[in-house]
Amino acid sequence: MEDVTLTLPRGRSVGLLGRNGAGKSTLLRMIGGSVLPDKGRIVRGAKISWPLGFGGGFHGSLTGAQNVRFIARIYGIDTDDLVARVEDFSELGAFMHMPVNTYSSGMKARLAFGVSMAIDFDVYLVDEITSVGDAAFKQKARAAFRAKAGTADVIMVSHSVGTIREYCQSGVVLENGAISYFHDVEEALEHHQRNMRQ
Amino acid sequence: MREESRIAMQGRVLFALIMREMTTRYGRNAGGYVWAVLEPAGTLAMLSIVFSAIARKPALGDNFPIFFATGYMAFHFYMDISRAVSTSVTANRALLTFPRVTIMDTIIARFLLQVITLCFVTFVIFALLLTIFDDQIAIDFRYIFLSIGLAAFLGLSVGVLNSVLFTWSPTWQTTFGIINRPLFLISGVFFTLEDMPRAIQELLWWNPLTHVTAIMREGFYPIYQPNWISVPYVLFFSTVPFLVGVLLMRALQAKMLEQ
Repeated sequence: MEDVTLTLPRGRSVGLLGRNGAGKSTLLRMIGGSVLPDKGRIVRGAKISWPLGFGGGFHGSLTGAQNVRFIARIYGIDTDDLVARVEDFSELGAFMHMPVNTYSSGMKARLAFGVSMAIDFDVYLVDEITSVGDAAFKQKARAAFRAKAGTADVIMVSHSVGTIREYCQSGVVLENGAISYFHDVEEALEHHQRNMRQ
Repeated sequence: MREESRIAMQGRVLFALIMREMTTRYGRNAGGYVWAVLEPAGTLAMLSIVFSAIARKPALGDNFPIFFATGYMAFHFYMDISRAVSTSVTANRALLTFPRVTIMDTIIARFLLQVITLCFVTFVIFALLLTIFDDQIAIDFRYIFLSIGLAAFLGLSVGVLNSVLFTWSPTWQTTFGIINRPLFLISGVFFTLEDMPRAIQELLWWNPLTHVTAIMREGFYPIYQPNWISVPYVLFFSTVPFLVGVLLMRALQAKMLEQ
């Protein structure tokens, strides 16, 4: 991306669209702050989550509960309270007290999802909430997101047009190092599909 | 967004990192701490046994274990901190996903934990040695703290530079490991500078660790009063890698996080 200026307003969820390798995930991580721009700056006016859906951020040899405690500490939240709520949401049961490197990728995603939902962020960054858990868990996740819809926004990367439509009102299209913001997600999707056809 | 001082947040992140480190390294069982004491104790025991077979008396005092401890613990302070700090980034890679956790945080957290642990270990070892053995020792804490402080700063400094370089070049990581091994032999751990021939003394002087171990010895042996020690030299030697490391880190932070 070169010479990009972008302002994302609060109160609208945004889908990041672009072909593979266009830089969607990188942009998401830059918004979150774990990747720094080579030049320029990013100004944040809200409490932003870390990019969800990676399953990263967990230290393998620590248990689920210990990892949650770490996150609680860095975000200044009561540790026991957060562990209890995550235990409840992610439904990991006894696995909460086993090292994360014994988890399947689905379990890691559930833990990550559980933690992020349990903390009140203003903006949630989501990178492909693909198949997180079984149908019942997906329902729970969807409901949790919906409950947050009033107070929090989502910035999302997804290859599923349906998912983008479901969660986002606006869209950003990445193509050839340029970024275009569309207030209406349908316009963004149309633009993206045109790019893909070329 | 909650208004909160940056210092408070910094403190929380450091606390979280230190707790996490303690849980993984010394966590489940007290075993971790026991090993932290046993490892240098074992080296000291081995050195003492070997040298007491060769020589009658150490260069200072009458007791081999104490003589070696005064040199080795200072060296160990440097070595351990250097090693811990240089692997801060690689060991905490997953946790750097959180924007609140920066590379500097991981370095400071590791450094603090290492210093605290080493102080504990050093205290335990000297307490044991001085209780078991009797020797013409008069402790002067000023020299001990100076020695530890210099060793820690040198370790931090080399560690910071290496934390950047290791991310870039695994070859350098291996090379550095190899270069480091003879360091043990030329840092005044099991001899004093004065024991060496004049020509060698000139060369050894350039190793900052020789000064550090000598200062530690001043803290234990009242008759040992070397006149060649230069604290400014050690500080200068330590500041260079530190500044280069910090500058490189700023410039390459983006790349380091992506690795």
